[in-house]
Amino acid sequence: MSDDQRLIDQALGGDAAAFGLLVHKYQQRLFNTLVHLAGCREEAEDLMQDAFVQAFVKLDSFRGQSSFYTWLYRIAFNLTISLRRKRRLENSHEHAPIVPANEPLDDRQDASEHLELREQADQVHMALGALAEDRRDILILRDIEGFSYEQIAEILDLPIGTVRSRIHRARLDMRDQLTGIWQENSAD
Amino acid sequence: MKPFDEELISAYIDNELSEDERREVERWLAESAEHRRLYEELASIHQRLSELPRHQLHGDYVEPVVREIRENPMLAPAAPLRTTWPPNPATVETPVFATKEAPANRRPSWRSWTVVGVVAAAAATVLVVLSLPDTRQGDLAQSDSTAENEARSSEALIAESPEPETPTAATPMAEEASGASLERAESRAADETVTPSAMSSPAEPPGAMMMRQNAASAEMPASTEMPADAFSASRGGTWGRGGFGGGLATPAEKSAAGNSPAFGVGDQPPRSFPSPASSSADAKPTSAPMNEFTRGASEAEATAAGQAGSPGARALRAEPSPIGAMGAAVGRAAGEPLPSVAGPIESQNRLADRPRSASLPRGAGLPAADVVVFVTIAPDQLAEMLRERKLQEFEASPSLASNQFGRDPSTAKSIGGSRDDQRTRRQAADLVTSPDAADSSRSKPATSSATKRIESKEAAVFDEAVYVAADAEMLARLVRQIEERPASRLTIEPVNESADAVRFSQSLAKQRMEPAASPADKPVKDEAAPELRQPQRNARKADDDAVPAIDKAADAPVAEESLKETSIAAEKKQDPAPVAGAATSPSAEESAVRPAVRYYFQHSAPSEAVAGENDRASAEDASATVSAPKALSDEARPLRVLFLLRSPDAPPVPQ
Repeated sequence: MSDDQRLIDQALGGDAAAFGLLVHKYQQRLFNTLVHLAGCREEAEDLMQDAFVQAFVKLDSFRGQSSFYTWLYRIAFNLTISLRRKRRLENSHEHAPIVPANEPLDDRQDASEHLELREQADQVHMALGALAEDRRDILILRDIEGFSYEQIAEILDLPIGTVRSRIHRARLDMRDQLTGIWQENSAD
Repeated sequence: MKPFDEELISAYIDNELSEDERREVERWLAESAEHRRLYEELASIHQRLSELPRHQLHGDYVEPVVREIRENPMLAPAAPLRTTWPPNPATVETPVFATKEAPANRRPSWRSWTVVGVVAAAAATVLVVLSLPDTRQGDLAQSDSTAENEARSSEALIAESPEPETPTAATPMAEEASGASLERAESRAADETVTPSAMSSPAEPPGAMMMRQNAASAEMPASTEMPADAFSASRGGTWGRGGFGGGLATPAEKSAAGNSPAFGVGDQPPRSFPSPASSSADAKPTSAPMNEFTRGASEAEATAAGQAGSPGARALRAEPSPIGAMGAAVGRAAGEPLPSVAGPIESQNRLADRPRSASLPRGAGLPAADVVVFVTIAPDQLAEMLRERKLQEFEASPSLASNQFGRDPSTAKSIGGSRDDQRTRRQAADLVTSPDAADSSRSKPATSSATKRIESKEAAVFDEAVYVAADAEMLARLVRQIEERPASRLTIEPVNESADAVRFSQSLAKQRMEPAASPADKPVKDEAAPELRQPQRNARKADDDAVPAIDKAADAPVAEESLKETSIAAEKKQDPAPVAGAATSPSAEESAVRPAVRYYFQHSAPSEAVAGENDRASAEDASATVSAPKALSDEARPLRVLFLLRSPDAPPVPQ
C-alpha cells in the first residue's frame, strides 16, 4: 500500500492529521499550478484550500485508480473552472493575466543575467496569458507541471488523442504569441 | 510511409510516441529542414515553459485546511457505505483502526508515550480508587454505582491490556464520552492543547479522571461482561444529548482527538499560521512558522499514527460492541465516515432488531441532505409510504457500497435491476456524498444555527434514519400524509442554506399555520405555497445573490420561530396508538441493536436528467468533477431529506 493510500485510509477513519500530511506533501506543487491557472496568487491560495477541503470531503470516492495527486488536481482544476465562470459573470475578462513568479531565479546569476531571464519569463507569461483557456490549461499541465498525456486526459476528461492535438495547437499558438511579443519588443 | 503529421512532433518532444511513431518522426526530421525547424520551435516553447520559475507558497496550509475540516462538521468524508448487508466475510475489510494492535507504522517515540500513558492511567486509577474507598470492598456485580463500575472497568481494562493505548487522546475522548462534558469537549476542541503533564495531573478532580476512565472503559472488548446500564452510562447514557452516539467520531471527538499529537499536542502548543489571505505575491516571504509537518513528515506521521490510534476513538470505531455499531450507523446517517464493520451487522429488514434509540451525535456532521425531518412514526409505516410513491429503495445498498464507495468491485450488483444503473449510481453518489462544488446553492454546509436547533430538539433522539431524495412536491405530500397519521409528530429543519431547503421548510411551516382544508394526500401543488412549485432554477439563478437572501430568511426571527414550532399533533402523542410493525418499548439491553439507514431515491426524472457529457467518466470521477452536475437540470434536482424516525411507543426523551 502506498503512503498516500495509507494516509487516505487513515483520513477516512477520521484522522484529519493524516490528511494534513497529504496537504503538506502536495500543497507546493498544487499551488504553483493554481497560480498559473487562476492567474492570481490570492485566488490560487483560496482555490488550493478549497481543493484540499473538497478532496477531504470526497475522499471516500477516491478508489486509487489514479494517483492521489491527479485526483486532487482534477478537483482543483474543476474548482478553477468554476471560479472562472463566476469571474466571467462578474466581469467579462476572458483572459486573466498570468502572474509572473517573483521568486529569485538563480542565486548564481548576476544582475543583468537575472534581469534578462526575468524578462524572458515575463514574456512567456504574457504569451501564456494570451492563449485561449483550454490551450493555456493544457500547456500548464504538460509543460509546467509535467503531467503525462494520460494524466492530462484524466484530469481534463478528454481522450488522449484530443490531448495530443490540443497540446500541439497550444504550442503553435504559444509560438505565435511569443513571436509577436518579440517583434513588438524589437520594434520598440 | 505515413503522411507527415505535425502533431506527432509535439508528442515526440514529450516522449509520448510509440516506437514506430518515434522512428517515423525521426525519419521526417532527418528528411525535412522545415520539420526540423518546427521541432526546434516547439521544443523551445516546451523548454521555456518548463523553466519558468516556480511560484512559492508562503506559509503552510496544513493547519488552515485541517482546521477547516475539523471546525465544520459537514466536512467529514461522505458516508463510505463500505458495508453490505449481510456482510460478506470475504469482502469485509479490516477496519483501519479496527484492532488494538499497534499499527505497523508506530515509531519508538510513540511507544515511549504509550509507556507514559500506562503510568498515567495507572496513577489516575489509583487516585480514583483512593477517592472511592468503598469500591475496593464492594462486589462489582452487586454495585449500584455506575461510577464504581466505570472505575472498575477501567481498572480491569488496564490490568488486562498487555499494551494499553497511549492516553494522549484519552482525555478528550473520555470527556466526550460523558454527556455531561460534551460542552467542554466541544469548546475545547477548537484550540486546546492537551499535554501529557496535564493528562496525568494528580491535582485533577476525581470527576475528570472518572470521565477519562469512561473512555478507557470504551476500550473494553465487546466480550467483556458489563451490566448494561453501566455500559450505557459509561458512554454518557443512552438518552441524553450527545449520548453514546456522540461518543463515536463526533466532530467533538474528532476535534478533540485531532488536537492530540499531530498538531501540537504533546510538547508543542498549536502554532499560528499566516492567514491564506495574508500571503501575496509581493509580500515578503514570511518566516512561516513550522509545524510538525514542516519539521519532518516522518515525525508528524508517527504522531498522526498515534493520534489515529487514540484509544477511545479506536475502540469505539472498531469494537463490534452493539452500541459502537449503533453509533457507527448513526454516524453514517450523519455523514460520518464508517469504517468497515468487522462484526456482524443486522439486516435492515429486521424491524424487531432495530435500535430503540440513538442520539443524534451532538454536533455531528449532518449528511448531505437539505432538510432533516424528525418524525414520530413506525419505520415500516414510512417505508410503506415511500414505496407507495414508487421511490427506489436501497435497503441494503450493496451496489452503492461496492460500486461507488467501496473498494471491492467484485461485489458489484446492479441497483434494483435499473437500466439506468450507471446514472443512478452517479445520482446516488451525488445525493449521498457531499454536495458538489459546482452547485453552490446546495454546497452550503449545515449552518451552525441549524445544527444548534437540531441538537436542542427532543426529537433529535431517533431510532432509524431514512434518506430520501425526491422532488419537493412529492416530499411535501409525504410530509402531509405523515402528519395526518395518529401519533405522528414531525419537526422540520433545514440543515443548510440552500434555497431548496429553506423554501421547503418554510412552505410546510406555512401550510401548518393554515387550516388543513385539503384532503390527506392532496397534491401539494394545489395547496402549498406557490414558491414550492417554482422551478428550482429560479432559486439558483444567482448563487452569490441568493445565499445572503436565504441567510436572512433562515435567520430571521419569524422564520426561526416558525421552524422551531413546527411540531404538530402534540396532543396526539398523549395517546399513541399501537402501530402494527412498531417495535416494543426499549430497554437498555434492547438498545444493543443497530440502527439502519435506508435510502430512497426518486428514480425517474432525476436519473434521466443525469445523462450528460460526462457519462464516460467513472463513478469516482463523477464525484470529483464539477461538470457532472451541470448535466442535471435544475428542475430535476431532487430535494434531499433525511428522516430521523422515532417509534411512537418509544419512551419519552429526557429533557
